[in-house]
Amino acid sequence: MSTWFRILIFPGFAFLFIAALAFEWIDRRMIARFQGRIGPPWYQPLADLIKLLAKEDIVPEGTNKFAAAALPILSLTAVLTASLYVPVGGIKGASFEGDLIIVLFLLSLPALAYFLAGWVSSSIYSLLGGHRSLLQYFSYEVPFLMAVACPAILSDSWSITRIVSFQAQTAWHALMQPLAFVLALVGLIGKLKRDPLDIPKAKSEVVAGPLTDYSGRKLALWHLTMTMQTVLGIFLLVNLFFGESRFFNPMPALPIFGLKAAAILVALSTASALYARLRIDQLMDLGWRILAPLALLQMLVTLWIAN
Amino acid sequence: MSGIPNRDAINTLVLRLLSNLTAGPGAFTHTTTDGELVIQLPAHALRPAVSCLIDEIGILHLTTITGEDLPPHIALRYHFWHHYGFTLEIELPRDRPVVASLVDLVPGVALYEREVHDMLGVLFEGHPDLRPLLLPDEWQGPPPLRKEDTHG
Amino acid sequence: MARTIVPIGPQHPLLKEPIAFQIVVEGEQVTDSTMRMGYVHRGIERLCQERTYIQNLYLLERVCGICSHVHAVTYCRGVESLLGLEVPLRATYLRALLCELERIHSHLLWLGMLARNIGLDTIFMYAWRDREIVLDIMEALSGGRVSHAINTIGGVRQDITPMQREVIWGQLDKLDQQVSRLLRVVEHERSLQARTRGVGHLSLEQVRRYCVVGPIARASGLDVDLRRDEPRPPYDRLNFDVVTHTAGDVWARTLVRMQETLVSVQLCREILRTMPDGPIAVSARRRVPPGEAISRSEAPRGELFYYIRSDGSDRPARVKIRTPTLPSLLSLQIQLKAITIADISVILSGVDLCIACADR
Repeated sequence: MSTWFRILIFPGFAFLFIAALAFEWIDRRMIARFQGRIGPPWYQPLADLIKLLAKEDIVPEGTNKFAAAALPILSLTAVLTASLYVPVGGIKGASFEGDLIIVLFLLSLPALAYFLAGWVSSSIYSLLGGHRSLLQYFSYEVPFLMAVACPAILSDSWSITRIVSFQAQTAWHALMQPLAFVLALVGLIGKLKRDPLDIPKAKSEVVAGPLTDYSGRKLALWHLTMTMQTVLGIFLLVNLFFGESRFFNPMPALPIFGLKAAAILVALSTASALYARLRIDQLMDLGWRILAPLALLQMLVTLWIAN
Repeated sequence: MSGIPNRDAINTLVLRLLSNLTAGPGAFTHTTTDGELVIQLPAHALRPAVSCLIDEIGILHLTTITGEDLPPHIALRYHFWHHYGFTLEIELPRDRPVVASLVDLVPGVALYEREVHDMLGVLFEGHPDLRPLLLPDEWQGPPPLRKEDTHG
Repeated sequence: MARTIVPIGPQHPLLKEPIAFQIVVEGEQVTDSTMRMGYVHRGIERLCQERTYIQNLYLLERVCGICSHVHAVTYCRGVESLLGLEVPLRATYLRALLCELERIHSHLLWLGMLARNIGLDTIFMYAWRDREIVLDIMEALSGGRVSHAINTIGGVRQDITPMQREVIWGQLDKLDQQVSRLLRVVEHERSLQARTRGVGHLSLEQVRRYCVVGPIARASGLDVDLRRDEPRPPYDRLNFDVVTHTAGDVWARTLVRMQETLVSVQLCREILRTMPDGPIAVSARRRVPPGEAISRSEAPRGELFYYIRSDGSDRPARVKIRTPTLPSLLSLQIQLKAITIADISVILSGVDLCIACADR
C-alpha cells in the first residue's frame, strides 16, 4: 500500500473519521439502552457534525480570536498525527523505536489546548472549566503514563508494533499485567473527559467548561477531536494490552481488532452509565492516593519480572 | 399522639403570656373562622411580645407576615405556629409605617419582612438587608399592594 | 486564584426556573453568595383582589406547575371555611388522592433532577420513566397530566368510576415496585452518596430558627408534617408514617423524599380502599360573609399557607400565600458557604426549588 493511501485513507484520516462516528454511535446507543431508552440512529453523529459545521460561528468580545481559531486545529492535528503511528489490526502508517512516546505526547496536547481554550475565553465558566481540566490532567496523567509504560518495559521496546508482536509470542499484556490495564482504562476515562470524569465540562456546574463560548465550525472541530481521541485511545489500549495472539492467528486480523476495540468501548460506556460524576477534589484524592501508588507498584513488579 | 396540648390550652397560654401587653384577654382578640386566635397589639408591643413568647415556648415558628393596606392604617399580621396557629396583628400609620424588625429574634422572618417592605413600603428598623425581593430593580411606582394603585 | 463571581442564573443548566445567585469563589472554594429572586413574580396576590372567588381558583392553580392541585385545595378550604361549608367526605378523599399523587410526582421529578445535576443520567431516566406512571394515573383522574382543574368551592368537579379505580389500583402496584427499586438503588449507589453525604448540612436548631419546612426540615430531625399535625379529613382517618432522618445533609433529604414517596403510594391505596360513597360537592354562594380564614397544607415541599380575608363581597379583600420554597431559599444562605463549586449543584438540587411558587 502506498504511503499516501495509508495516511489519508486507511488506517489514516478517512478511516479514523468513520471510526470516530461509528464509535460515538455505539457509545450513545449503549448508554441509551442502559437507561431504558432506544438511542439515536446510526447517522446521528454525522448529522450532528454537519449541523454544527453549518451553524454560526460566534466569538464573544474579549476572547482572543486567533487562539480560539488555532487551538482546535492544533488539537485535531495532534490527534491525526498520532494516528499515523497506531497500528490497526496490524496495518500501520509508520513505526520506529520510540513511537509510543511520540503518540503519548501527541495525545496529551489536546488536553493542554483544551485548558488554553478556556483561558483565552472571556466567560467565567470557561476559566473555571480550564482550571478544573488542568487539575484533572495532573490527577490522571501520571498513573496513565506509568500504566502504559508497563507493557513497554515488559516487551523491552518503545515501539508499538514491537509490543504487539511481543504479545504474539507470549500472551496478552492484559493477562500478564491486569493492574496496568485497569489503571490505563481509568486514565483513559479521565483523558477523554467522559462521565464519571467529565468534571471540566460538567453541565450543571460550569455549563460547558472551556468550550462554553464556542459554536459552529470551531465547536465541530473540537467535537471531532474528542471523538477521534476516543478512537485512538481505545486503539492504543488494544494494541498495548490485547495485541496479536497465537490463538486468533488463522482468523483475519482486522475484524478481531474491531471486536477488541468494541469490547473496550463497551466497558467505557458502562462506566459512563453507572456512576455519578466525581468532585474534583475526590478525583485528585483518587488519583494520587490510590491510582498513582498502584501504578508504581505495577511498575516495580513489571521491572522485577523483566529482569 | 399524647403530650400535644389541645387548642384551648395553647390559646390560653398565648393569652396569658401576652396579657400584660394587651388590655386583657378577650379585649382585642378575635378568631378566624376555624378558631385560630388573632391578637391585636400596639405596634411597639410586638417585639416584647415575641420575645416573651420565645422565652417561654422556645424557638418560634413564624409562617409569614401578611400585610394589608386598610386606609388610614396598614395592618401587619404575624402568623405563628406552636402546635396550633395563632396570629399577632399590629397596625401602623399609613404615612409612616415603621416597626422594629424581628430578624434577630426569629431569623426566619428575613424574607417576609423584605416582601412586606417591597409590596407595602413598610420600613423594618434593624433589618440588615431591605433590598427588593420580588419587584424588579427598576420599579418606579408605589408599592403594589397599596390601595392608591387601584384604577377602577 | 483571585476572587471571582460566578453567576448561577437567571439562566443556567442547573435551574429549571429563573433565579439569580451570585456566588463569590476563590479557586474552587465558595466564600459567599447573594440571591435575587422575582424573575417570575406575576403579582398574583394583587390579582386575586380583582377577581371573584371562583375566578381566583383558576388563577391560584397556576401559581406553580408541580404543586398546582395543593394550592387549589388549600385555597378552597379557606373559602369553604369562610362560607361555613362542610365539604362531603368523598370529595376530601378525592382531593387527598390527587395531593398524594402530586407528591409522588414531585419527588420523582426531583430525584431525576438531582441525579442529572450530579452526572448520573441513568437514574434521571429511570425516575422520569416511573414518573410517567403517575402522570398516566393523574390523567385518567382529571384529564390533565400536570394541571387538573378538579377543585371547585365546595368539593370536586369529577368523580372516579369503579373501572378507573381498578386501573389505578394496578398502576399503583407497579409504581410501588418501581419506586422501591429506585430507593434500593439510591441507598446502595456509592457514587451518589459520595456526592451528597455531608453536603449542605443544616442542624435541627438552624432549621427551627430559619423556620424551614418540609422534607428539608424532616431530614434534619424536625418531626413536622401538617397532614398529621393539623389533621383534617381524610388524613384524620388514615394511618401513615412521617419520615424523618437526622443527618441533615442532601443525602438525608434524598432518603426522606424517597421514603415519603413510598408512604404516599401506600396512602393512595388506602384512600382508594376506604373512600366513602356520597356526593362530591355542595353548592357555594357567590358572596362570602366577612371574616378571616387561615388554611395550611402539606405540599410536596412543606407547609403551604393561605390567609384569606373577606369583606362580604364576591371578591376577596386579601389573599396571602406563603409557599414552602421561601424558607428553603433562606436556608440556602447558610448552605452556600465554605463549599466547593461542585457542591453548588448538589445543594441547589437538594433544596428542591420551585421558584414560580416562591415568586408568585
